Amino acid sequence: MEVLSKNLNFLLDGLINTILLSLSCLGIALLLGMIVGVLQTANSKVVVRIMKGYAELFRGLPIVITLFLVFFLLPEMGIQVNSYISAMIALSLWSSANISVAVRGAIQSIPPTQTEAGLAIGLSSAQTMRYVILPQAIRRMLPSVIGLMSNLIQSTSLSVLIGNLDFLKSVQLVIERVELMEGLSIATQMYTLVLAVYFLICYPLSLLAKRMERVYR
Amino acid sequence: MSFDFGYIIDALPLLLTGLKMTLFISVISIALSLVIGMSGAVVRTLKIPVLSQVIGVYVDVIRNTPLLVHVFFLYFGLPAFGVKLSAVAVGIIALSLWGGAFAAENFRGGTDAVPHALIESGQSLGLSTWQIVRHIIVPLGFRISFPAFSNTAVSVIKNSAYMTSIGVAELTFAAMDRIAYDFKTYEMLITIAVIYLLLVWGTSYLFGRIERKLDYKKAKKGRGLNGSIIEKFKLSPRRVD
Repeated sequence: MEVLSKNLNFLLDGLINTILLSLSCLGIALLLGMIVGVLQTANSKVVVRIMKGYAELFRGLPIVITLFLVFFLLPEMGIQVNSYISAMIALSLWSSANISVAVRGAIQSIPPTQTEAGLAIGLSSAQTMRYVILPQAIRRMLPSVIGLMSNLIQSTSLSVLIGNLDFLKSVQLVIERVELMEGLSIATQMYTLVLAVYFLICYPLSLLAKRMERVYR
Repeated sequence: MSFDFGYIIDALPLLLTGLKMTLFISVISIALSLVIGMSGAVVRTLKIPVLSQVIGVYVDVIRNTPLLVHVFFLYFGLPAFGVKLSAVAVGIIALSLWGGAFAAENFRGGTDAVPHALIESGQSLGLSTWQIVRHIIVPLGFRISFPAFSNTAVSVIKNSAYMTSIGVAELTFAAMDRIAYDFKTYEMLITIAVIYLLLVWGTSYLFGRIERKLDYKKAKKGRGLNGSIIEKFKLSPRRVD
């Protein structure tokens, strides 16, 4: 407890970093995932192929590998990135690939008569997508997108592996410091704290996803 | 930036030992998560008091906390209780617990979808609860929810890369270790990325074949299994990581 109050500011900094990382990834991933998902239902075969390839690629790669690829290879190509930015890029790539699949599934679950009706009243196909299909599809994809959000928040902890100072890293530093200075091992308590904090963030999300699934079915 | 193929060929034996470890951990963990998941699903479907609540809490805790923290907890936190596990053991336990929690949810979709009439007819035939579980709930539930479980299994393989953080000598660790030696970062990372992709896509394909073997497609049309079972259990094949 004493350790906790002494290091509270440090731990809070880490937590804020985690939350910022999650939110920025979420924003990018939603936007990118939406675009890729919509393009997966496009008329052009080439576009569909490329977009599906994108989704398969980043869903197939372990997140750790995507993270290392971005962190180690971008600098070799002359693009300087720090660990925060590379975590953001890697997690957005992975998450947008997953979201795009949810988006495509939702769009394809809308009966084709809706598209035909939209076209028949003289809307362009882009307008049909924007005003007829997407508003219905978004409700259907919400439960799985919220589930993916919770996955994304959990996955930000992986940025520790490339040295980003997020919540988990700050906890590790506190554990190390206490061990060095006072010779005490507080690993169990501190990791329990981490579990509790993540649980408090993610559990409401999964409850929300479950409820939505019930409402929209 | 040219790709040095000769270097990769030299490094292949090392990567192969890493791959073996990845496969070893993954296969054991998938098998264990199958067992944990199926038992958990049956317990929750039968609504066995206390036990079913315990499993509910276990599933919620694991699903809502990061796997990396489980790994660190087991590896760095448990020694305080006098339990000291090797990195490989921690890897297998963490992955199995994680996979088991997700599999329990996957399978519950299947076991819950087994029509109650079937269970009742089992009872009226005089089958014991264990026989009903063994001959009705498990086989039917497994067939229905296998596609969902296969996604979890593939995720277990992918997530075995997490174990690099505690020094299990699996594929990622082997590659990173070699990179620290001779800084051929580009070649090495691309190579293991390709290996992982082949592994993941290969297993997905394999599971797809098993799904067809299990007659899921036929069942959907109402020929194999009772079609209404599938109707009730609307599959949303989304991968969890």
